[in-house]
Amino acid sequence: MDLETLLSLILIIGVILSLIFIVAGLAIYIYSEGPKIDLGIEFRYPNLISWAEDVYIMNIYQKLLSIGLLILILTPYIRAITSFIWFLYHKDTKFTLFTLFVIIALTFSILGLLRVF
Amino acid sequence: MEILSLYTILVIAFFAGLLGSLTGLGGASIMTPMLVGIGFPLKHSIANAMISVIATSAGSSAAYVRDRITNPRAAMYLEMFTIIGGIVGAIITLVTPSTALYFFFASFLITMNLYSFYEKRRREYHISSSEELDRFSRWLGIHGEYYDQSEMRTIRYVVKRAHIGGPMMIIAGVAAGSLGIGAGAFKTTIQESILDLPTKVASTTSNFIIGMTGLAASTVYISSGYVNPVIAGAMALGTTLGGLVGSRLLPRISIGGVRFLSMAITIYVIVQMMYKGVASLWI
Repeated sequence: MDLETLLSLILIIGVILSLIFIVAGLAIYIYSEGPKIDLGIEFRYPNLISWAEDVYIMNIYQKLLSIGLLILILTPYIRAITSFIWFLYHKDTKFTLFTLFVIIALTFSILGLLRVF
Repeated sequence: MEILSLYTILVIAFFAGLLGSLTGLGGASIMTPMLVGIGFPLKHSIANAMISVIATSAGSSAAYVRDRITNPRAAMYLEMFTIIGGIVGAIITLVTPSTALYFFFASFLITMNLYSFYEKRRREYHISSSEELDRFSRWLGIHGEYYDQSEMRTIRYVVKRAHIGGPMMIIAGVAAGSLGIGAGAFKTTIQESILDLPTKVASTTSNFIIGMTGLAASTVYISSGYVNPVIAGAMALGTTLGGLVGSRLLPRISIGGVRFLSMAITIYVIVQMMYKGVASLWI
């Protein structure tokens, strides 16, 4: 499989899968809480890992929405990892290093290491 | 604290996605001014819209990547710069007062439109394809080709001035990360005017890059507590569905209609953000 087909598949699977979880989460939210949203409720996670860990203790709509959003947010990350492996396999040093740089920067970001406030 | 209706957010996100897709302005840059217009806090809107940007980018770029119109190699080179810009932009937003952000939003759109207009005019009279390829761009080797269906032929192209175009993408990343938008039109203009990419390759590659910038910036917003999963989910769903409907409607609308719509929405967005900025000075 070539790189373009692979990346296209990752994007389409990522967005469809995430939207399925989001639709389910929003439907359950409306059913259980009504359509009102209180902006005073704060969801603060130092990084994506702690958000993912908290999914276990969340109620059902929070769980579904969190899974959907995490899949969505991580789709570009998975695409970067796939590209890195593809370039590494094809011995393309230049683009292996470019994608490695992107992965490192994104990993720092996902782990909350760039959080300053 | 303010209470909002989920239905309102869904409807606004849908129309923003629809209009963003029709005009090429992008859903988030229309959604944020519409939301602040009904009293939604600016920083909450920017942070949650950043996540919806990932959805619209992934949804709309998948087909162009598969059809080989997008240049993934050029995207991977340019992403190194936009993700840095995206993170810096998100941090800037966290420390900047909302009043300044309203003016920054409006100023960015004015500047982007003037720059795009100037570059479009310049390119009409100056075709730079005869310019010699610089060493860095040759070393990078991100040239490519794609099949243009409207012209029914394969178009080959080379990428030029990559040493300037790359760092310029940091500015695009800062704008995207700080305003919670894709800044796709700005990225496209940079790729067309500096890297000399054909318009279709530039716009689809820009769309592809947007998701990566969105990821980098949204992690900063998540850790700041501005992201609410219900709001972010509704925005992502609404803009993606609106974008899908918009892409179906686009072939049925005349170019004149699209231009009028684009101009009207741009003026609305600029006026709305300037008005909110001025109004916030008195609060």
